[in-house]
Amino acid sequence: MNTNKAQNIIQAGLEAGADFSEIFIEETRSSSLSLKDGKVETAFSGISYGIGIRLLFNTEVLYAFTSNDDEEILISMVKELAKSREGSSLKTVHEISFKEALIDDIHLIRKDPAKTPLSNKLELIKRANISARETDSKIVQAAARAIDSVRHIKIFNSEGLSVSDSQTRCRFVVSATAANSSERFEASESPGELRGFEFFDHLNVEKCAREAAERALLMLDAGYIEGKKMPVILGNGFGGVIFHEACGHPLETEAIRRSASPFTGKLGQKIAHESLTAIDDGTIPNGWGSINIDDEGYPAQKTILIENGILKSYMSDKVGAIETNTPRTGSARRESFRFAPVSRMRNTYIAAGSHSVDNMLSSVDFGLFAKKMGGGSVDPATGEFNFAVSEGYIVKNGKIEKPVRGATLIGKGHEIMQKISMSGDDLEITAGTCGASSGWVPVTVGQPTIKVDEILVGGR
Amino acid sequence: MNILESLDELKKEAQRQNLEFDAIAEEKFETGLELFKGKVIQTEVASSTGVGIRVIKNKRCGFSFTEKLSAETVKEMINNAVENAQVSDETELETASAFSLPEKELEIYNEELEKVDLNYLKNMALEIEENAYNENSLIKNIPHLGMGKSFKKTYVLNSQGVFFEKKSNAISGGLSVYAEKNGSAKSGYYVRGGRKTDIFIASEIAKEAVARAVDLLEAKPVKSGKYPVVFSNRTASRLFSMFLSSFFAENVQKGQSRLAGKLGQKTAVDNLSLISDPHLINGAGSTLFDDEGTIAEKLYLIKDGTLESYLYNLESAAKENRKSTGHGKRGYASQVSTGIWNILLEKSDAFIDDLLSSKDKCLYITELEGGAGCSQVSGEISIGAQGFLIEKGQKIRPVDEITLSANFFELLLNIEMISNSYSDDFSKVKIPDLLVQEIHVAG
Repeated sequence: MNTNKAQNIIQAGLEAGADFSEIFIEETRSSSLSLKDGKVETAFSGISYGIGIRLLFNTEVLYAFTSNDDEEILISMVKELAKSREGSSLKTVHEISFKEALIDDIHLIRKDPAKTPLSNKLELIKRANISARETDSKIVQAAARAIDSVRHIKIFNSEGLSVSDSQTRCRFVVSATAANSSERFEASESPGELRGFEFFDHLNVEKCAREAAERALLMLDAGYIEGKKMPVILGNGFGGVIFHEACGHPLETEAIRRSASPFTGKLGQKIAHESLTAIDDGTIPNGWGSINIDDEGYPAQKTILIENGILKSYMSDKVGAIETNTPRTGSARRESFRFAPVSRMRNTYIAAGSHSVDNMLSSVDFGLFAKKMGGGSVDPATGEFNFAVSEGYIVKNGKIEKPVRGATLIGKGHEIMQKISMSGDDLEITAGTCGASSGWVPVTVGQPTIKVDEILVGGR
Repeated sequence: MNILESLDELKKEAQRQNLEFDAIAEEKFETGLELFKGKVIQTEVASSTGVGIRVIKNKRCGFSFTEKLSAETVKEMINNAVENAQVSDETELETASAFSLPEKELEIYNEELEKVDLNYLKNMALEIEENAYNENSLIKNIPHLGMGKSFKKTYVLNSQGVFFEKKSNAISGGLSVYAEKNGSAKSGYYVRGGRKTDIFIASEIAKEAVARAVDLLEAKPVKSGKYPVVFSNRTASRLFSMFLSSFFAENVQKGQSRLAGKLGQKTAVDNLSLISDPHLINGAGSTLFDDEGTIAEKLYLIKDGTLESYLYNLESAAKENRKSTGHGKRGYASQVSTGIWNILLEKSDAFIDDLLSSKDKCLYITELEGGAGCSQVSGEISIGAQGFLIEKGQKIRPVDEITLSANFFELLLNIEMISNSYSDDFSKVKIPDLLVQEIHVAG
C-alpha cells in the first residue's frame, strides 16, 4: 500500500472522530508438506492477504478487515465503523506525515523457505517416517510434517508510524502411534523456530521421530496412577505450559482490564513463592515466539513479570496499557489481519534456579514426575486450570518408578504459584501455539524442572 | 476482482493447462461487538474471500489457496498446486461427477437476519448485561459479553462440471459471568446461536449464564473412587465431539482408530444409535453437498449398538473402491479432510430426572474442562470436571476439582440410560444426557 492511500484511510478515520487510526497490512506465504501412512499425504501452499483497520475512540476499539485493497472500499469500511458508534462527530484534521521506523532486526534469517526446493522437505519427512518406524515393530503409524511461513506486515498509524517487518518461521511435527492387540497410543514432537530453512538443516529429525516413538511405546505399556493430591515434579521445557496457562494469561492486560484475573491490582505484591522469577521475552534471537515489533508496530522487549515472587509487570498492548495505567511492553499480537491485536505472551518462562533434579526427587516420598506435559487450558477469571501429562512416572521414596498414563493436573493458578518450592538449573524453552481472543499465535513456554508441593493429579 | 470473476479465471487457466481439479471458494461477512460495563468496547465489521484448489496431475494431488484475488495470483495459486502435486504420492482419487441437487429447503439462510444491525446487537447486549447483574447479587463481573452476525456463501466446483453454491447465515450472543461467594469464585458461560431473532431473549440468556456460575459456587471435590456419572446433554455432546474422528475412514485406514475392523460388530449398548444427518432443517451444519461436490445424505454410524458405517471422503472412498459418503470437508485455506455435518444420537423417552434418580448416588457432570488429556487415537479420557453430587435424585451439593478417567470406546458399552433432550447449543453434534454405569473419579 502506498503512503498516499494510507494517508487517506488514516485521515478518514480521524475525520470520523477517532482518536487513533491504524492500518495493518499482511501478506503471508505458507507451505506445508506432510506424510502419513508412508505416503505424501498433502502438499499445500497458500497466499494469505488482508488489511485490518482499527479506530480507537479513547480505548473503545472499532475494527474492520477485508482482503480487498481498493481504497474506496477501505474508506467506506472506515465510515461504516464510525457510523455504528453513537456520538462520533466529524473532525477536521491536519495531514498526517509518516516517518518510516527502522527496526533492529535481531533474528537472522539465512535461507528463504519459499526458495528451497520441495524435494528438500520431502527428504526430511521421509527420514522421520523411517526413523519412527524403525524404533520398534509396535509402531504402526508415523506422520511427519514440515511447515514454513513468511509473514510480511506493514503498519501505518495516525501517530505518524510507518513500519514493516518480515517473520519467517519453520516447524517440524512428527508423531508416532504404538499399538498392541487392544490399545493404541500416539505421541508427538514439534520443534519450531523463527528462522529460515536452515532450521531444518540443523534439526536432528531422526532423534525427534525416535523420541515420539519411544514415548508412544512407553505410554502403551504404562499403568495408571491413583488419583489424589500429591507433590509433582514438572519436567523442564514444555512443563512451562502450566505457568503459561495459570499465570501468563491472567497477567495479560486483556484480562486485567476486565478485572478478570486474580492478579488485578496486585503489582508490587507477593503473588508467588519467593524462589520464583518469571519472564516474558520477545527478543530471544530466533525464538519461535520472538518478534522484532509487535502487531501494533511497537518494539518487542524482555519483560520481567515476577521477580522473587513479587509481581513486577503485566504484558500490555496499547489499549491495555492505557486502561491499566502501565507501560506498553510490545506484547500486542494477532494471528492475522482478521483480528484486532490484544496483549499476548511471546516466549514465557520461569527462570532457572539452583536445584538438581535428583535433589528435587529425593524430597518426594510419593508423587508424580510429569516429565513431559501435553496441552491445557485455564479460566483466567477464576484461575482454574487443567493440564494433560503426556509422559509421567510415579516417584516413590525419592526414586523414579514405573511410567503412568492418563494423568491430568487440575487446580487454581494463583494457589499453585505459592507452592512452587524448588526450581532446577536446567531451563529449556519449547515451541507451542497459543489460542485466545486474537487467534492462534506462536509462543514458547519454558522452565527448568520445578517442584510443586501439591497438585490434584487425576488418575484411577 | 470479485469471487465469481476469480472462479472464471481459475476455470480458464485450469482448462488451458488441461488439469483435473476441484475447488472451493468462500465469501464471508461478519459484524459483531463486545460490551463491558455498559459500554461497547469493541466493534467489528469484516468481509473476506478466498479460493482454494486441489489439482490432480498424473494421479498426484497438490493443494494451494489465495486470499488475494487477481488474474496473477489465481495463476500463481494453480502453478503452486501443480508444483505441490509433483512431490505427492499417487492416488486413485477422482473428482466428483456432476449431479442435480435434490430440491430440499434446509432453511440455513434466513432473510430476516439481514436487518440485524450493530445497533440492534448493542441494545440486546445492554439488556443481557443488565439482566445478568440483576439476576443475582453474587455476580461481581461480566468480563465477556459478545453479539455477532455472520453470512457465508460457499462455491464448490470441479473440472467435471460440478458448480454448487449455498448461502447461510446465523446470529449469536453470549456472555461469561463471574460470581463470588465466601471466597469461592466461578465463571458461567453461555452462548445462544441460531437463525431467528426470536432466540435473543435477554432474560433467558442472562439467567442461564448466571445459573452456570452461581450453582457451582462453594463446590468441593468428592472422595476418589468409582461413581455412576450422568453427563448433561451439553457435556455429552462435547465428549462425543472429541472422539468422532474415530469414525473417519481415513483414520481407520491409517490405524488411527480403535473402530478399525469393527464394522457389523457391537460397539455400543443396544439402544444406542448414532446418525449423520446433513439434511436436518435449520441444523447448524446442514448441507445438500459436501466440500468436494459429493451428495451428502443421511446414514447411520451406529444402529442399535452395531457399527454400521465409517465416514468417507473421495480419497478414503477411492482406497476401498467405494463411494464417498459425502463427508469431504475443507475450507479454502486447508487441505481436504473428513468432517461432520450434523451428528445426532437418538433420544429415548427418559427425562433427565429419571437418569439422576436411577441410582442411590451419582455425579451429574455439567462442565468439562480442557480436552488435552483426551486422545482420539486411544480413546483415553482424562479430564477435569464440575457438576453436582446427586443422592436419590436430589442435588446434594456442587462438585469441582475432580477428574474423570475412562475410555470412550468402553464408555459406549457402559451407557445405562439415554435422555429425551438435546441441549439448545447451536451445534453440529447433538447428544442427549447420558447415564454411564461407572467412571473412575479422582478428587
